[in-house]
Amino acid sequence: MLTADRVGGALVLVKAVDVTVRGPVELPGALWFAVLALWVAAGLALVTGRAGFNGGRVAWGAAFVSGAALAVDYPLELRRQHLVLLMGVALAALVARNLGERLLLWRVQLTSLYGVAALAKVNESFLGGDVLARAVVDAPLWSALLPPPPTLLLIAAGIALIVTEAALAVTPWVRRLRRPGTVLAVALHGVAFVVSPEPLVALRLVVFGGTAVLLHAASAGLLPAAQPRRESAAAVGGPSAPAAAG
Amino acid sequence: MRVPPVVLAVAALQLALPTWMLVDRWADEGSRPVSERPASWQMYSAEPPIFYTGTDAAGQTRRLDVDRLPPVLRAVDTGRFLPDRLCARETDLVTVERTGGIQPGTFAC
Repeated sequence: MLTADRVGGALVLVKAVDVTVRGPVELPGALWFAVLALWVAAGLALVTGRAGFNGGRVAWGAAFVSGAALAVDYPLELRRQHLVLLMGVALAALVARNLGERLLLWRVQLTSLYGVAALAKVNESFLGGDVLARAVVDAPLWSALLPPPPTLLLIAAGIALIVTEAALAVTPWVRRLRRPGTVLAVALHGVAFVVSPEPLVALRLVVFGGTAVLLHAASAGLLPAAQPRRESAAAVGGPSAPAAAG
Repeated sequence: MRVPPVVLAVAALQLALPTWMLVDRWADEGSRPVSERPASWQMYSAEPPIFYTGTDAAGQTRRLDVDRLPPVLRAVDTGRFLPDRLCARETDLVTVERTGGIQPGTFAC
């Protein structure tokens, strides 16, 4: 069964490709390899999904610790956001004792992510259209198929993007908006993927967008937020299942 | 649902850290940010600085101040939009040069 744990584990493994291509930066080689091994082990444990909710907590905990070590190895990772988002998801899954708490923290994560992203774009540099213009110019797929967009279109697209992100900060908290919000998130991160300038950036955008969509889908109930306990699939939500559903 | 303190602490961290980073950037860089703070969700919201210089008929060049133009419009650094307005404001110029950005170049007034 596809679950948030399995999808999250797959995204951890995708990130491992990026880390492996880069290699060690600040950490000694042996320590870096151990960190990468822990990261991959966490991803595999989540993908196989055999351990139930608490086993998932352990695997997410391992992902959080090794993710922090990867950020120590290469501090630029903290500016690339996708590892930060995965670590946020992992930390939430680690500290939550049940499905309700996990979904609460994942929704707060979505509100923080999109709300601050929208507010951060309310500045002249972004509203002037230059940031989007740079993204389009750097995108080989766009520049090969389409002419540079006119300034007015860039400004309009910038405003639309801010409104979209602000909306996605709210949708996890309104029950009837969760599914449309998931569709909107797929569209938004799909466009970001299309305008990605190079394969490794595209890979990171897959991790970032995939993680964000995972959170939306789990919040909307489209994806079980955790692996069911093997002894009882009905206990997937534990004592807080009704709260999680709401 | 009774929420334990550790969950509340993580939720507070999720909200407070990027908010603080945003306030910090605004305090440092104002409405023309040139950097993205770590762990801040500020992706695609800043750009390197862009400068304009003008040259008059005598060949004298000087830095042009775009801050006196209307907000937001003064940040449209693509095409001829801003060079045309700088030419209109400072009528002695024969060219305006844009340095940085995705469309650097020299524009005749």
